[in-house]
Amino acid sequence: MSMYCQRCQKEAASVHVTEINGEGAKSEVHLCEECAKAKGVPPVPSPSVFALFKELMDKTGTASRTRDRQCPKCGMSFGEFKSKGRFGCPHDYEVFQSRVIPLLERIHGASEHAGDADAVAAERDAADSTALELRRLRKDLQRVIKNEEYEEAARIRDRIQTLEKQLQEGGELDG
Amino acid sequence: MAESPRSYFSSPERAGTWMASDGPDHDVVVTTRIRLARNLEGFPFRSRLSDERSRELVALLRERLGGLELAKDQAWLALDELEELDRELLFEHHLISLELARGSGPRGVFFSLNRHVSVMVNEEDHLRLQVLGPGQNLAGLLEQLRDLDQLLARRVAYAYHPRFGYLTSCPTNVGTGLRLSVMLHLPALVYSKEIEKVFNSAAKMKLAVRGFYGEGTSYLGDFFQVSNQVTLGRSLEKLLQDLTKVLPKLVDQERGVRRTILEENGKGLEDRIWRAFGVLSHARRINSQEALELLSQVRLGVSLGILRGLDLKAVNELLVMSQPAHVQAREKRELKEEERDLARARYIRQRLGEPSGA
Repeated sequence: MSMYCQRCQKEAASVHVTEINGEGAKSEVHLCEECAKAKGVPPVPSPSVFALFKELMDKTGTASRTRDRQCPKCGMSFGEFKSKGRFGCPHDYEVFQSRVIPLLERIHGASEHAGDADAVAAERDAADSTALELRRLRKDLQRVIKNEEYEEAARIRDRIQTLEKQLQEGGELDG
Repeated sequence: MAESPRSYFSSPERAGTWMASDGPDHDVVVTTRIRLARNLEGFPFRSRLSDERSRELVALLRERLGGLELAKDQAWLALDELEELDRELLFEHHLISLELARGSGPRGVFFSLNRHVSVMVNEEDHLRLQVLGPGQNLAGLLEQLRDLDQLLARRVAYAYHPRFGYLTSCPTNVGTGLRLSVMLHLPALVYSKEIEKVFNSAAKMKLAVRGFYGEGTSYLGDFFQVSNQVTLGRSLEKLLQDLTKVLPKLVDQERGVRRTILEENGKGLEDRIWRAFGVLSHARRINSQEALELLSQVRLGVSLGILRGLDLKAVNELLVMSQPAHVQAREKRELKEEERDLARARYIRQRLGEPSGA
């Protein structure tokens, strides 16, 4: 249903103004763009891309899913995250990825982790755990000897011997 | 450590285990602290963690951490079972954060004082692995922390994303989860009002400047914590490099201004330092803030060779022991504020060698 401008009665009304008079009564005025300008009604900003997108989504019926999408694991929505500043679970990073990326760019100037995943790699490679512990223990041993903590040194030495034995036995099994 | 924090930290020798020792660049860099934020796969982050799942998480981590066998003095403390004074002691010792000390619910800390390691459990993240040391020791401590991280990674499944790295509750920590931080003593830069410039250039280099106790705390006694702000997009090595490149410049700047003040207004500076020493060695009542501010002057005096009878270690020890919870630990009981101020003044007088008859 289109409506004619109430002022010129010629053009289709595209500006809708709600006026409130001195007694507080509301009345609606419908004007065409020309007449609205003449009456001094400020032009309405053109709808933002976001609003257009939202409208489009509303029409296709997917808007509510996008807007209020929640993490299936913890139930957090992006809106809730924004107000709290804390995520609900690790999965949120995946669920809200498209919004997380620009956020990380703002905070860190980057959105990709660089390098070091060695702890995780190590986690999946339990085989060298003994070797790693040995490395640490040998370092410890040097330290405690330097500090003349001989009791502790003896304890570490025993542990090193046990691990070395384990490593050898493991090697024999493999071979 | 089988004893409670209260009995453990009551002696100054132990109080100073890590903060009061000597270290590289000790005249300006008081301590180094490095931490990694880690979370476990299969558990929600803290904000979505029920008390029941918190207990489950804490029990799991306690068991896994206990199996690490870091050192003979390793200990686990359940913070929800400790009294406030003991929690505050751990906080003043920088072994736990403000959030963990004053938070609620199941949470704890696993640590070895000998190895200067503490692991906070169920803080903002499930795990905060921390290594501490005197002076500037970023590279050494980072290596130690990585070893710990790798050992633990084989006992628990970390939450990790191929693109984002280690996932954290707050996106400001994601990626490496690494916070390198040094506590700097910058009295000359404060005195000459050049500290503003330092703050500005730090911000440009994406470094954060915080107060004495870290995040969310105020500036006290010319002590500042400088740390990296960015955790994502740069490797651990790069982050280390970035900070170790800036740090010597800051240290030199402070030393330079100290020399300038000494040359241009030596008598004025000497007077200020001796007055600070005078108040500390004679006051009958002193609150922790005043003590910290005066000890800052005394620390400057010691590093410039103006005060000769003392060393930096002794001043650092006083800085540790003047804090409210430490004062109470020494007295072995809870004290009201006024009683604390009296006990603090008495302790400082004794340590500074009050002249007889004064």
